[in-house]
Amino acid sequence: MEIVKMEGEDILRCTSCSYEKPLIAIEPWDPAIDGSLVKFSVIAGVITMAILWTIIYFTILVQYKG
Amino acid sequence: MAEERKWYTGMFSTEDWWAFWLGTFFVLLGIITSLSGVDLVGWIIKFGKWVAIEKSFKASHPDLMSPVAALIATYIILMLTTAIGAYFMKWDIKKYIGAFTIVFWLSVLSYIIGENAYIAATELDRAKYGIDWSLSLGGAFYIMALIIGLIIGNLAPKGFREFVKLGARPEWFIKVAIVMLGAKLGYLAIKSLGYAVHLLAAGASATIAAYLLFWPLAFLAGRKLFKLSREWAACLASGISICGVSAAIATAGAIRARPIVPVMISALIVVFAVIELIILPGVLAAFWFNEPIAAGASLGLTVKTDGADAAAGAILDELMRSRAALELGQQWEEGWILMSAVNTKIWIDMFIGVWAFVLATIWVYKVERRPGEKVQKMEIWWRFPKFVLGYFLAMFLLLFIGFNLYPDSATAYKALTLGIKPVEGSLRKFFFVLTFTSIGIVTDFRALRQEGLGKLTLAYAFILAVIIIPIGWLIAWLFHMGMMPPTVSP
Repeated sequence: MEIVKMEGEDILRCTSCSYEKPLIAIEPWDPAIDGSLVKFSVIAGVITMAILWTIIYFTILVQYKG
Repeated sequence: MAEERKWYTGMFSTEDWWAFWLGTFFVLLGIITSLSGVDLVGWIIKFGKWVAIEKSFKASHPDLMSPVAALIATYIILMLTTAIGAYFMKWDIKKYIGAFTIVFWLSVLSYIIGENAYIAATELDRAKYGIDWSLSLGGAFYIMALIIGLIIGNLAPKGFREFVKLGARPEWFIKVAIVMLGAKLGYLAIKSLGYAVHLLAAGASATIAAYLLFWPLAFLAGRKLFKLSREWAACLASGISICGVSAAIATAGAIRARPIVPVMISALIVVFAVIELIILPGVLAAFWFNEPIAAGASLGLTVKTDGADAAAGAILDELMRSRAALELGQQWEEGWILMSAVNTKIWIDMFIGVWAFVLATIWVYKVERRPGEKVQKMEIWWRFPKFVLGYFLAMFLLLFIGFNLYPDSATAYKALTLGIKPVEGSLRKFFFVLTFTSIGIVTDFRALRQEGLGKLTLAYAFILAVIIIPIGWLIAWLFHMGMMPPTVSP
């Protein structure tokens, strides 16, 4: 396998059979897949952070205040 | 085939497990020494600041042997023990020994040069060494090792460079050192148990929160801003969010990305981690001196290889403590800032398996909808970083011994010092220096010129600077605000 530049684009080419494919292919944004993945992870992240921070702040960090 | 793997697969054939074995072995030597009084660790070489070069190193227990004998003993024992690991991992043993020998002696040279009092002594130390000026560069030996390694890795003739790489194993060396760091945490926790528990809990929470935000935002930037396909964006997001190379590989496996994807992303991760290692400790020590533990934790969240993170943590620890001694007149206990950096990183490492499992599930059932395929739960265990078991085993062993075999914590701390100090101090630091030298040797900045990396490099740099570092700093602060390292007891 090798990466070659053709017409300004990086192409991944099999050195034995010469099969070619763009190295980084264009793949349209799919709200049902990409959108959901991002949305649910961010929501989970924000909720988790809020819960964990509340617990850590009031059990641990409050002891180090001042 | 994944189906043929057992829970114990790789116990004697992977770097991760061999870090566990070696680290645990040295910690056990220390424990046996403390409990029995039979000196099994006095041979460990101990470097120190010097003006006269004959005082630059000595045995950890100087009564046991001369400095030169200790240096040779350390070389032989480290060469033999790591060679046993290399043998079981089916490396070319002769070449490994030859290459390790070069890495070892380069590390010794770096350590000695970097500890010269004119380079390393702080303002407060100068009178002790009879000098009237010094650069006050705490941790200069780490930078010296990195520079020497980088010179070899980038400028030495190709044949020599490739040969030395066979003995330069930064991830392995740092994982051995991290197991010893577990012993240090247990040893220090005998005196400050509450503080150690707080640090572990805060680090774990920060890591979970950071990771759940890092990944989707990095994925979003990759897909929307840089128009990367899903396989590239997912692997890049995992690599830059979790534990770099391992995570990129784990994610590629989980989502069945082409082999080229993790390979190219891994090259970026390694190079950028070294750039962060060079820049971040100085920046944090200069601008975030009032929050040393948060600053340490931020390194674990933002520097994406274990080696570079622990290395950056070690430098930050030195810089912060030097500044505290100079400006506040306080002696902060050595190692807590470093442990804060390693702590967040270790929790991140532990999430690799969980995240690989989650992604594999999403890809199988939602993205690619592969009919009849199931994701094995054992994936979580297979991806679990085994050296972390050594870290916690060492910590709990020390705590168990400290709180059960001695009448009080002060007596326990004093009694354990004989055997544990050389392992968690001198030997661990030397493994850190081996790591620095190795990082330099394996970091090839020419990788950035590789075809196809242009767009990825831009994406990586952008995501790191705009998403990972700012959010990492914010979360590190939120979860560690106000925590200061314990001061040295008089």
